[in-house]
Amino acid sequence: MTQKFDAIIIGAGHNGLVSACYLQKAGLNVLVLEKNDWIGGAAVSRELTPNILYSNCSYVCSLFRPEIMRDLELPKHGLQIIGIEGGTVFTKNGDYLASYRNYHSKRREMARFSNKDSEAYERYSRDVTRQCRFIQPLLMRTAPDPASFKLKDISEIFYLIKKFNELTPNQMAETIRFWTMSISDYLDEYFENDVIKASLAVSGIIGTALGPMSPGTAYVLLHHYMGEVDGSIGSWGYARGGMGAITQALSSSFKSLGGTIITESEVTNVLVNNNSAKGVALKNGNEYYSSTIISNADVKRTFLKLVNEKNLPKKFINKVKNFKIRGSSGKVNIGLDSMPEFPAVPKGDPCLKGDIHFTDSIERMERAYDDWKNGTWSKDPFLDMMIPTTTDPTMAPPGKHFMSCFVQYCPPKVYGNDWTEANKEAFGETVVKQIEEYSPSFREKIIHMEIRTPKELENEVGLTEGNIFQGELTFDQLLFNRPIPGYAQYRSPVSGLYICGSSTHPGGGVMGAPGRNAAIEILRDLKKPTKHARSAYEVI
Amino acid sequence: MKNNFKENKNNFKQPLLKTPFYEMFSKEMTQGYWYDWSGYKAASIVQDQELEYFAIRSTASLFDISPLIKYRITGPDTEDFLNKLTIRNVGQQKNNTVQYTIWCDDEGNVLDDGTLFKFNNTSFRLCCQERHLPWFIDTSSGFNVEILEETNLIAGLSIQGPTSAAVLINAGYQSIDQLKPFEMIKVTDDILISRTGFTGDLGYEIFLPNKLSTAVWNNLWKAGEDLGIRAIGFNALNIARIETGFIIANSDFITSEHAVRNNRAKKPDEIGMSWMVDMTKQYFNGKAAIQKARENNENKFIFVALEIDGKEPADGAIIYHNKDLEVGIITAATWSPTAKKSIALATLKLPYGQKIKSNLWVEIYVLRELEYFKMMKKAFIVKAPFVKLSRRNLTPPLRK
Amino acid sequence: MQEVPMKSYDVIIVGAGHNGMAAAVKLSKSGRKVLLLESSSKPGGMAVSNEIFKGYNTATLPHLINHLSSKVIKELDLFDHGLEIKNKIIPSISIDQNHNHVFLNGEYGSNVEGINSEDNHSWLKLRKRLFNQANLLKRFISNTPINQENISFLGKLKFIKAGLDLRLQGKEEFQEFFRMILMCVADVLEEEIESDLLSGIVSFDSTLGIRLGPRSPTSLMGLLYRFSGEFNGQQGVQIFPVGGMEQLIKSFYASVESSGVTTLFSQTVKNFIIKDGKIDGVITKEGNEYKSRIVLSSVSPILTFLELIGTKRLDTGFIRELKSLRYHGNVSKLNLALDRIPVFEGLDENQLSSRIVYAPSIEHVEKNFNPSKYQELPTDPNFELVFPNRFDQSLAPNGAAIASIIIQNTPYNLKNGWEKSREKLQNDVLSRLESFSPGIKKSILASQFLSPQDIENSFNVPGGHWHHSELQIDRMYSLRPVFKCSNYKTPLSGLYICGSGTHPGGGINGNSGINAAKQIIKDINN
Repeated sequence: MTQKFDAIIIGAGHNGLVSACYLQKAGLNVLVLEKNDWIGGAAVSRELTPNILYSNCSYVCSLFRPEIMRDLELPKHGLQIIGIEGGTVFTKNGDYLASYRNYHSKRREMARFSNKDSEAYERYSRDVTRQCRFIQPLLMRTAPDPASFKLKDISEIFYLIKKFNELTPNQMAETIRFWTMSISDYLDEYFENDVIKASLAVSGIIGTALGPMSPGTAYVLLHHYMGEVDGSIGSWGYARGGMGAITQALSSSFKSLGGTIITESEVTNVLVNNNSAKGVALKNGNEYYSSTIISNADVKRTFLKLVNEKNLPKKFINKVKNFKIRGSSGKVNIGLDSMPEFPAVPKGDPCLKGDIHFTDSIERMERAYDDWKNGTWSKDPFLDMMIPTTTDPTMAPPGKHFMSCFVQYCPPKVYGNDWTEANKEAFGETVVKQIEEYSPSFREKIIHMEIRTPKELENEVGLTEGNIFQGELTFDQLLFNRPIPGYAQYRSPVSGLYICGSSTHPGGGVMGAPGRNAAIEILRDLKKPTKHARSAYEVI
Repeated sequence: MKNNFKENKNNFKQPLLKTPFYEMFSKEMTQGYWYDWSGYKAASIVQDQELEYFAIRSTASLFDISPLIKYRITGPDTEDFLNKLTIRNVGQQKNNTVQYTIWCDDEGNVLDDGTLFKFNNTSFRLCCQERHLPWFIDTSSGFNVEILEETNLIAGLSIQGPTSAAVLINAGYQSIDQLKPFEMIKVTDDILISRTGFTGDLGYEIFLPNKLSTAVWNNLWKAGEDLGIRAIGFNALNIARIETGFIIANSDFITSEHAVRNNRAKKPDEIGMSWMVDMTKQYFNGKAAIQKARENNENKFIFVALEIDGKEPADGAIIYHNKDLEVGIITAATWSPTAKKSIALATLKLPYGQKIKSNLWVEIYVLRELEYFKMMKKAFIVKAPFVKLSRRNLTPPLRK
Repeated sequence: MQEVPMKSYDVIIVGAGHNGMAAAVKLSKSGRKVLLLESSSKPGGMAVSNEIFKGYNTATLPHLINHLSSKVIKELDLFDHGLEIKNKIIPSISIDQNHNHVFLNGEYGSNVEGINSEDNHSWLKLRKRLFNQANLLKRFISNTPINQENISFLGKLKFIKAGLDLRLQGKEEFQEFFRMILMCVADVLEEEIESDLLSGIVSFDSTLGIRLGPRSPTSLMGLLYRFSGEFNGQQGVQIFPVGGMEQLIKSFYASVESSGVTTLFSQTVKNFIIKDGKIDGVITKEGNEYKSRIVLSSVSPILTFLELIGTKRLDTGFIRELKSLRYHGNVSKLNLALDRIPVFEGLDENQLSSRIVYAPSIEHVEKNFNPSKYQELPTDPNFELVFPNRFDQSLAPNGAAIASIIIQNTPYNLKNGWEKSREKLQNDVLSRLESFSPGIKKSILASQFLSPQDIENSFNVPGGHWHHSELQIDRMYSLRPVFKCSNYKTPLSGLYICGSGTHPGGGINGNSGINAAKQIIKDINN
């Protein structure tokens, strides 16, 4: 079977679908090919046990750009994001530090641990807000190539310099420090209490193969703060119906524009002729042709597996090999018969409706990281646990719950060897044990449990090493360095072959910006209009 | 550092706390207009805004000031510490007096204003709008002082108006008769009364332990029954304070630890507080920056009082020079029932307000039955206060 | 030794370390009347030497030079004042338990023995690139950083110029610079090098003296900083002066004396005299008062500000910034007097004239770093060892040896306390040494051990940090020690600072002394 399209997208992840929508909207005939029998990549809702929907990869939303939701009319296609009510860190000594939406409740809760810190939080959030305001406008712009002498790149660099110049000298100094510091050192400049510091350090490590004491993690914190839910910067929310609701809305929007998605169609090879993309070959033998191929897969998978080595410069391949995609996290997804009890927390406390943590000091987080560096999963892991059904009852029958446990750190290989079933079980048990310490009857409530190590994430979703960001968020892999210097504008050495996943600027998280930015670059190459992609909302 | 919040785990249930006078105010409250003052429920209007205003200006008004953030500062180095912290000279302040003061960050930008109660040179109370524990503790490095936040330990009640002295004396607090403005006295072991207030009128502020709140309230209420006593909310007080030209942090200026954007934080000179900066003091936090800004003419703003043509209030209005160039913004405005004028407090970009004082215009939008009336009204820079009352300073005070 | 001092000076310099001395000479030569005050009885600060056993002389702390600025040599005419360097390039050895040592000869391994040819090729390529990058940074290292006063367009022009120069070297170098500049050294090495021993020593050198592991992002900067050092046009080399480190300090001091500076020893500055918000002199613990409108402090920023000025007189925001400095050291020093020349398996006697590093792999260095994060000691510490008398025989009796050992990852604060840990740490190091050189333990006549806490006490450096405060990228260049002071000026009018705590930081280079002196001269002339 052969068929010709204006553009073919490999992978129906959120960025692939965002790209697909923008291209289709510009009048192209776009085909999306997905290897699984379901779409969504890492933004999915799957019924893994009867009647309970699992957000079994990504589990919360904040980064998804509101401009994209509006451009693609996602609310019309069923997307709704509901803000999260609270969050908590349980402490070893039986207490807990809750976080609430209400300013005063939150402050007084912190004051239980340190009066001084509860007030220092003001200055801290002012300073982080300043950093967010600086970075936000850059998300929806293609990063300039500083080595290029093209007018577009030079003018974009001038834009960056101008942005930087708007800061006062002191703020410039602060910004440079912020980008190079560890979250631990950064928090030390504001706070004295371990539990408060641990609760805030979380955002500095999620998804990375770094510990809170590693320089560069303050930026990672920013990456988790720069999102928004309905204009409330830094807020996180649940997608109603699970994270799959985002990709379902995208797919519905795409189809309503006339686009085609074919599932169970694993691409094994990008067809290249004369250094130009010609089409794709599928595992099932089918071929589809187009002179524009866009890969939603990460940069390693795309260029080391899908494209034949002979079609790429050797230097480029080396650089792709040197791109750091490190599996550092696992996931344990649990179906629950009823809401687990946490005796430490008063009845009705909304802090259980949000992110629940059990790591009450930065030292414990860092030691968890040491285990990973050592080649194994953390024995006292950091969990980012959520029970979305407390806020969105549509995901499970009344009274039953879905619980998502994001686990850090978890290596792609155990002491250099492949994961065994026994390892996997032991890893799951580590997680259940930690929860049990704070919720004694927890184990009895488990109906079903899915344990996902980086191996499963790689095999099922296609994320190399199971890295949720498709590449570390360190400075050497951000902005014009992402994924590779000279190829940060979504293009590749093969003419007509593009990448649009989280491996590209501005990086990971269910953000959609890489997909949108890539689509704009593609449309520019095709000399098609890009007006239907609104520019970023201004930050005032 | 004592931690006053340690025990309460149910913070989610009560975002806004009740002050010790909450029950008394709710009994008087007919409409239920509460607002959030530093995490406490405070009344906007108790019964009727106009009547509450006239209680301030013609009889006696009771306003709950318990939510004021209060710090108790004690220890051998207290005076030195406060001299570093604040821009006025604390050494020259007499015992048992109150000083209105300001403190600044390193850049000389205002962190907050407040009232400083001096018991003696090793014991002070500082009352303000915002919380400042980290700043105070970090500033106290090297000083032998203890800083205790006592907001939720000490209740406060402000009694303002021409009959306020009479009410207090009726209530048995005769010793206030000799109090001059900005003086304070302990009328019992626990109850402190200062001749201070936020109205520019005759008035007093009473500070007491929470447990005495019912007794003191009942006492005053009874003593004031025939003297027109009335519980009031912030709206009425706000009119009175604008008439007097008093400013409110994060309303008339942005405190520097809250300012996210550039150029929002302001120096004392830029919020009309130049008179307060004591350059003869050897050192205080921000002194060098304030001095440098003065020497190099780096101040960008000036704070002014405006009288505006017409009668429509000009809250938040843009100020123009020659009707076309934006030169400032109004931060607070009201119709003054006492002066019978439309008045406002405003920030102007220099040189407007200093070298160029005339030809200023205010753009006012008034929504009437779903249509805007847009007006350009002439504004005149005047000297605050808009309302000056001789009874404010008379000692012994008027009794009626 | 000294004439009766005049009580009033143009400039008073606190601390006769190498930076203080460099500044003194520069200022004195510009015609100022300079007083140099030193709390100990001899010059040199942390670069002093002592006799650990009769006839055994060694540098107490730093035992090699790798950053001495040619600018400083010229300004102070050090060669005319007794500095002599014969054995110019000291090779490095990454020692191996199985005696397959790796030898880095020439300018930081311009010729490496003990690795396979593929590695050799990759190493030379990588080394060239790193040297190139270090060269670019060099232009920022010797001069005063961009600061509040010149942050405007003209200040930034420097960066734009550097960027263009880099771009002219080709797209590849340009791109690799911006990719690598904030990377961790482990990633850079793993991209290119297979040899554990080579990667181990390079990891060690990147992180020596700072609280980072080879896997910590930005750790490559430590290596680039080392490579930015040069001597006589030779980049990245370590050198050893004739007569030892003591002779280097002697040449500094000879220059000070000949330039007409008044130096007073055993004068510990207690605090500064402040008049009308400006500095007006210093008071010493010995009860003397010296007047001057300008004071330059070469002691650590923490000491200068938090103790000599005191927090009472400093703005709170500034105190906050100072308190955020990470000034706790991570390095200990062990000096041994040995009654014979030790024998190392796989090394001949000549090869003992090297810098010997025990850092067998990236993993090993990283695992050593881990406990230091939690105020614990590593069990098998990495160290650097030299035998100073191999470079200059006069430093120890014939047929004997001094071992000078720098031990990495030994935090200032230990959960168990140093009293309980110092013996164990020394034993761990000695056992490891014994495994390379059987019998070395028995040959020890005397030993001297300095933990970061001992360094703090002996040298009056709060935190006992060799660089006065962490030399990590968030505290380099304009951000060192804090942005407000990056031009060596301080919020207190008339007070200036220099020393390792200021740009460009540690190592014996003297740049900050010269730069601070220049700033003072400029300000006086204005």
